[in-house]
Amino acid sequence: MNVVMRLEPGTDKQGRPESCGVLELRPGEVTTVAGPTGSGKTRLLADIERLTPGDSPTGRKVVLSGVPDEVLQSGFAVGRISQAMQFFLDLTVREFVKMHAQARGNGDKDPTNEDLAEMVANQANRLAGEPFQVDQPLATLSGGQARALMVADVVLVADAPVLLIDEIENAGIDRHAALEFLIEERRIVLIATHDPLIMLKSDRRLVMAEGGIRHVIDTSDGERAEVERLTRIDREMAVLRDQLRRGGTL
Amino acid sequence: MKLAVVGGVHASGKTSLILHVARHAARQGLTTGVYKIDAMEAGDDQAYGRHDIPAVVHAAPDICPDHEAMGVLDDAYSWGLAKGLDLLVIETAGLCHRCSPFLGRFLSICAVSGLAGILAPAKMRPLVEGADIVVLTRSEMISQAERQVFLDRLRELNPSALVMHVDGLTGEGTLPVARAMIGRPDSVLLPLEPLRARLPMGYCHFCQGPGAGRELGL
Repeated sequence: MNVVMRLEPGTDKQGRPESCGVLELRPGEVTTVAGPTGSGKTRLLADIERLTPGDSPTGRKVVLSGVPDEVLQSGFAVGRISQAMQFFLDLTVREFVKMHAQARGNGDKDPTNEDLAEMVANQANRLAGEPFQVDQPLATLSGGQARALMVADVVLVADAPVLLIDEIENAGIDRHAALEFLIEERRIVLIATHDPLIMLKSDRRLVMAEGGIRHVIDTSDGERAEVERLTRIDREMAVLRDQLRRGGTL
Repeated sequence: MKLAVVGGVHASGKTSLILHVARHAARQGLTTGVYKIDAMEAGDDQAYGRHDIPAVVHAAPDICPDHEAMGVLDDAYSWGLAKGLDLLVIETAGLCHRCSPFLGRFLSICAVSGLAGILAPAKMRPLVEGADIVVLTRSEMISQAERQVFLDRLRELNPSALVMHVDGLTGEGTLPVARAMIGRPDSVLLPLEPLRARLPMGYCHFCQGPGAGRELGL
């Protein structure tokens, strides 16, 4: 059965109905969510995460079909990287990954399980700045390290068919490497972002205003043609950033 | 009138949960009232007053609020009937969690804060294990992965309960709790209603009654 996520419109903060009509998202598609801060991007992701039956402040309805019932009921159908930059649980990275895998029901996916924690930590360390240790308490991770761990964990442990990513560019991690790791053909991916390059690389963007979906814009060929030029500028900025933060001068 | 008991540590999100339940009940034309027992008077009646929810806040400075709750159950029940309530919620914040304020036939709801440690549920085992509904509150404050771990731990402790998470700010997730409370048959308070938890054997001299606070007790 094909996986489809159906999003039925609700209302914006003024109670006006969203005019976007019913949206259907399919695996392999990357949709970005754009709009000024406070315009409802995070709210939209929260509605999708909960597969809201219509009891959220927007009244939207989100239905995911083609996914086994046990995955839906376990709460692991929709993975989400929120803007949270901190862990609160009093566990080490290793304990946390192990418990999360058990909660997911894939604790025996890797028989040793210790390797899974190492794998997740290694992947996270490839995305973050200075590496953390697998036996380090979660609460001592920096904001960027915590985000990198959430990214690695959501793919390697949670492995959800739908993935929501909230402003990955603010995380202080390599956002392009993170997105390359997160986006897979078999997933439906939504990314809330202020980054024009991420928007233009996606298949379409939902533009938010006053809490509602105001426009649905498919990325045009003309826009796609701009990606190469913008990527060059972006790479230049990245090199500069790295140079300065390692103590270099211009 | 239906009766439900909501228990949980101080600041675990009980009041926010009840406010949202009362909002859902009001939409169906049902009146909710709250009889709250706390160790100290902390002005919670104002939180309910702001939402026009009838409330009595009862301070229990000398014994555990959960214990006090059992002692004033009759008063609370008569108060609820006199007010013409459709739903009476007993809200109590116990102290040591060796037992729980849950009674045999009444819907029992336990609130656990998502910001508490992962060992917290096991430390208040009688409360978590004795509940019909276990609610993880402040779920909006923690990452999804942490929430999934926390919910799994709660389900492990109480596999037969309805375990859910709610966002205290928007009230998302509170509708099923309200439905469970409202959907029950009316409650009749009988004398000697059995407690769900086993009571501890004795009382600590630090906390028991007048004379408490002296090192050697009574």
